[in-house]
Order: sequence, then structure tokens, then C-alpha cells
Amino acid sequence: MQKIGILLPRSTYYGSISFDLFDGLKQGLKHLCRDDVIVVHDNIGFGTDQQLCYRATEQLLMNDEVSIVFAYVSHRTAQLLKPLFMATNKLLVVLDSGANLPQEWPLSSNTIYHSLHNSLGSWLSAKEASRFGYDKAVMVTGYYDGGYLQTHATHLGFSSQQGRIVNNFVTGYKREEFNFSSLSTWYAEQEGTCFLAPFSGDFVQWYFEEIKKQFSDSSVAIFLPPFGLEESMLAGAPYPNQEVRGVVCWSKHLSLPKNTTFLEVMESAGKRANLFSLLGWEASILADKALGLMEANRFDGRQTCRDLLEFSFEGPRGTVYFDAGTHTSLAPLYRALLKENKEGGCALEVLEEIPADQVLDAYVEMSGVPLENATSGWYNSYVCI
Amino acid sequence: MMSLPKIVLMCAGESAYPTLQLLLLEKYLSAVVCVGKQDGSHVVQEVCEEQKLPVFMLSSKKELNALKSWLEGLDANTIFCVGFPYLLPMEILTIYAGRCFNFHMGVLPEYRGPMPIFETLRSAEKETAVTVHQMTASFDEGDVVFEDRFYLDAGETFGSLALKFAERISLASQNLAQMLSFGNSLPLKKQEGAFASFFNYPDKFETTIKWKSMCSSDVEHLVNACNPWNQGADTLLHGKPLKLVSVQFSKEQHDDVEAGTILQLELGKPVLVACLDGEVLAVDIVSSAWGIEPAQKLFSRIAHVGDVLGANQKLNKTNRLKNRVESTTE
Repeated sequence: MQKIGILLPRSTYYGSISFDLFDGLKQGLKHLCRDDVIVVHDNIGFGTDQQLCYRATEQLLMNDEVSIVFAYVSHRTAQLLKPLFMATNKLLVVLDSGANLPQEWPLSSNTIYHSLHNSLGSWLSAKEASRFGYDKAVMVTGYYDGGYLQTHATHLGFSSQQGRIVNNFVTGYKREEFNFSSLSTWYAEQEGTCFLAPFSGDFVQWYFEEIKKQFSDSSVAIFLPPFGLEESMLAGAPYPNQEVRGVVCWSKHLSLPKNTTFLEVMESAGKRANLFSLLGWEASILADKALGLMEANRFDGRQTCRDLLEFSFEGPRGTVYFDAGTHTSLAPLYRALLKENKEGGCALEVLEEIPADQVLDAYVEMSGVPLENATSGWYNSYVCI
Repeated sequence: MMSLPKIVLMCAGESAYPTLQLLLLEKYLSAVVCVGKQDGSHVVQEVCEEQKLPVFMLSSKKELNALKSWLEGLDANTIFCVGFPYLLPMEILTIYAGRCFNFHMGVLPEYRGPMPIFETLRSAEKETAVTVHQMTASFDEGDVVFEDRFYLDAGETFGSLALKFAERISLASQNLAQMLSFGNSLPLKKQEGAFASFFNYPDKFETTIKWKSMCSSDVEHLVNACNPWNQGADTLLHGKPLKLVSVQFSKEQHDDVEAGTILQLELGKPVLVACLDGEVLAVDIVSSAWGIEPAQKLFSRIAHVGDVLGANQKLNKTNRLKNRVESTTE
């Protein structure tokens, strides 16, 4: 029997996040006929308590003797855990929302990052705004989402196309503080300005409610990142009666055989298929490969990490592979359009895959940009509040 | 559970500066001991004084005896050594038992000794590591806490690698401080004695290019390993000392010319030198009694095509005359 560990987060507005991650991993392993793999899990809260994260990892490595740990943590926390993996020569696979840009892309011999690439999606979504002819934008974000460097990626992506952010509008984080009336007044005097809007979770629902309420007489083009178009949250949001586009990393509507399998397996097990169970599912594919490599490499985590960087696989969102320069996985991203469903709610239409070379070029460009004074004050894992 | 580290950083100047800054920022630092004669030691001293941090400037090994009583006056429980050239006295190792750590700039136990960067580059290794280990009464022999491995870049020099180490050690020092803060115990690993090698500080023989036995890549690696701390790898021209600071591979090859022979010396073109394996190196920068300058500039004054580097070859009469004429016209 081989053992892997997983460190699970908690979130108030994605209440099922830890279950989704765990279910995705378990169902994925089952689908791969890896019933022999024991999964040991621990909870690390919002990912802000360094002591808790470190102790949980120490427990997995030293007491439970797992050879691979999957952890939904930030880059900062991964840095904290890194020496434990170098010391024990085991493997850390960081499951990452990609909402933050790290101050430096850390290269650790025993760590790889498997990402949903929200910042890269933000960058490309801002580029979409330029593609549709917008050269001015207002960044509309919230107190919480705005604290991550996905906003910086949005700004960089837009300015790389000679676009200009002419206004930054930040809402409060309580429903009663979430009000677009001043934005509406300001927007009435603007022409040819689009909205770039990094939002996630409940905030997407509030955002669309406010757009519908305050902009009923206007036409606004809105561009969203992957978490802004996350389908489980869109399910509860009213259609805002505006043109909403963006970039997604995955959708239930992707017509890929591996996606169909993923959806069928999750559904038949009575589990949710969403971004987090997708991340868990893909983690199971990585676990299967990494466990084989670990055995072949006589449990040398460093060599296994190197070998994994050469690995690619077909998953529900397409071909996943690794960028050896940053130890980070890359996967296809898709252009998407928001549509109204029969109940007046939101439905996502995936338009097309962004060409792989454009995604890679954008990633190389984004990861090469020095952040200088841009920094995030949020220590928690994204969406874990 | 381990206790919050209150660290005394023992260092030798500027290589420890990023570590000093990060430990200060993270509020782990209690005091600094700095070898006073090293480059950048005054900067370390200034930062400590500015931050009102106790600092002990160590001007010689003899002063290690005074260090113990100085440390007794501090509220510190951990010692981190970065580029610190001395062994700690046994009394200090006993007082700080299990909490004296060295951040070694090379893989252990393969590269023990005071100049692991030089030996790593000279040996043409493709990767190296910051190795964090506990200190004992012998150099570089304690149990390893962790090693942070990384690849060397093509054309890596002693200087460029030392700068990388300075940055990586600062992060490793933060990592170790966090391990001491949050962990139950340190995951220690014994060094495997069978692979151990100790290298002394390189002497002139080791920094000298042996044109008759070294192939082109050996020469290149030695030159890079000596740049900048030794101002290049040693050789001779007309029996006088000369150092090659920077070389690179040329597309040219030669056929049966004595290794070290200057093959090309034309204005606007690189100085080409024959190597033992038929390869040709382009010499970019040299260092000599005249100073550090482009090879083309020095060689056009004092050398000729066909002269042999490394040979204890004196100037012949014609060359001497030529040099005299050139120096007069200049």
C-alpha cells in the first residue's frame, strides 16, 4: 500500500471546498483503479496559520510517512513547507488557484505547482477586452478579490495591449456595502470604457445583481477571469443583461472525452463536479504517475519532481503539462460568453480554446514581469475566508 | 516543540547581507558577529549599529576566545554561520548544543572545505546546493537538516554563483528559523562518509592552467572558478604572470598545434588560443601587472601569433625590440 497526504482548506463561501478537493482525488484514484493508495488528510483552515500548516505537514511526513503531499496552499505557505520536503526528500504538489502572483517564482527541487491559473486567465481576459476594441477600462473589484495580484495581472495584461485603466472601483465585502451607484454615476459620462472585473464566489452574484440594478439603461462590456465565471457560483446569479465575456480554465460544457468521463464519474458517485473537484481529479492523475516514479526512483522525491516536469496528461480541461522554468503546470484556457438561461439566470457558453502558443507566451511574459512594488497582503489561500 | 529562535548571525561580510536583512525583517535576529577584514564587513557593521543590534567585529581568530563571554551577555539561543571562516570553540558548541548551524555553499559531504564554490565550478558540476547542517568540532561534518539544490547556468563564474548563494542562503535561513519555530523536531540526516572529500583553500598550483594536460572545457571551468576572487586563472606569458579572467569557446579548431599557442591576434577579432583537445578558446579579458583589460589590448602590445601561454618562454630579441618601439610610440 502506498500513502499520499492531502492538506485541505476551509472556506465560508465555498463551503464544500475541502469535500470537493477530496472527492475529486478519491474518485480519480478509484477511476484509475488505484484502490491500493491510502489517502491521509488533514485540515489547515484558511491557510493563514503557519504553525498549523507546518505541523500538519510534519505529521504527514514523519508520522504517517506519506511520500507525496498535495496541499491547497499559497506560494507563501509552500515556501514555509519547502524545507521539510527537501529534508525528507519527498514531494510537495501545491494545488493552486493561481490568483496570486508570487513575489518570485520559487524553484524548489521537491515542489511542483498544479494551478487553475486565475491570474493568467485575468491577463488573457484583459487582452480579450483589447481584442474587442477597448482601450480604456475600469477595474471593478472587491475588498477581498482585489487584494490578490490577479488585479495586477489584469492591469499588466491590458496595458500590454496599450490599454489604460482609467478608474479603480473597489466595493466593500458586506452585502450592504456592495453598491454600484457611484460607479453608475461615473460611468454615465464615459464612452468606450469596459469593465475588467476580478470577482469570485458570492461576490459574482452580488456583482451581477448590482449591474442589473444600476446599469439597466446602459450598455456595459464586462470581462471576467476564470473564478468570475465559475459555474457553481453562476448558478445562483441573475443574468445581468449585459455582454459578459471572459476566460475560463474549465467548464462542464467542454466537449472533451476526458471531461465527459469526469462528469459521469462524479455524477454517478453523487459528487459535485466543479473547479475544486477538477483540481482533486487531476491531482489523482499526478498521484498515480508520481507514485510510480517514486518507486522507480527509489523514493527520491527530487528525481521524481524532475521527471514529473516531463510528464503531460489528458485531463478534463485538455492537455496538462509543466513549465520547467517555474515548476508550474499549464493547461488550455478557453474564451467564454455568458448567456441567459430560461429562468433568467446565467449559463456559460465556451466559445473556443485560446491557441496553446498564445497561452504559453502569455504565461512566459507574465511570469517574467518583475513585480517591483506590487505585493499582496492576503496570506490565506484564495477563496478561503 | 522547539523554541523561537533568537539568532546570532556569524558571517564574513557582504555574502551574508541578504540573510542579515531577511532575519532582521522577520525579527529573528539578536546579534551579529562579523569577520572584520572581509569585503563589505563595514556595511554589516553600519546596518547593525543603525538597527541597534549588538555586533562583534572579529579581527582575528584569536578573538574567538573573547566571543564566549560576549555571547553570554545576549538573549540568544541559536547560531547561524554564513561564510564564517572559523570553527566555533567547543564551549560555544556545548552551550548552544544542537542549535549551531552552518549554511554551506556546496553539496555535502562531497565538497567540504572553505572554497566549495571554486571546487564545484572547477569540477564542472551541473548542480550545487545550499546545505544546512549542524556544526561540530570539525569543518562541515555535522548532520544535514536540508539541502536546497539548484542548477548552475552555462558560463557560471565564482562571482555569479556566490551572488546566487547569498540570495538562496537568505531564504534557507528563513526556512530554518521557521522550522525551529514551528516544528517538533528537525529532520536530521547523517553525512555519508564514503562520499566525503575535503578541499583546502586553493593554492597557486590549483589556480594555474595546465595547458599540457587540461582540455578546453577544463580551462574554461578553471577560469570561471577563479573569476573574480583570484582575478582569473593563472598562466604565464613570456615567463611573466598573467591571469585569464574570461574565455569562451570559439567555433575554430586547430590541428596539432601546441596547447597554449596564440593562433590569432588581429585588430577587431578575438584572441584565439589552442587547447590540448583541438578546441580553440577565445580569450576576452585578462589581468596582469598592467591591470585588467581586454585580451586584445594587452596581447597586441606584448604578444605575437605563435607565442605559447604557460611556457616559461622569454622574449626573443626581435620581440623585445618590437615592444620597445611600441612603448616609445605610445
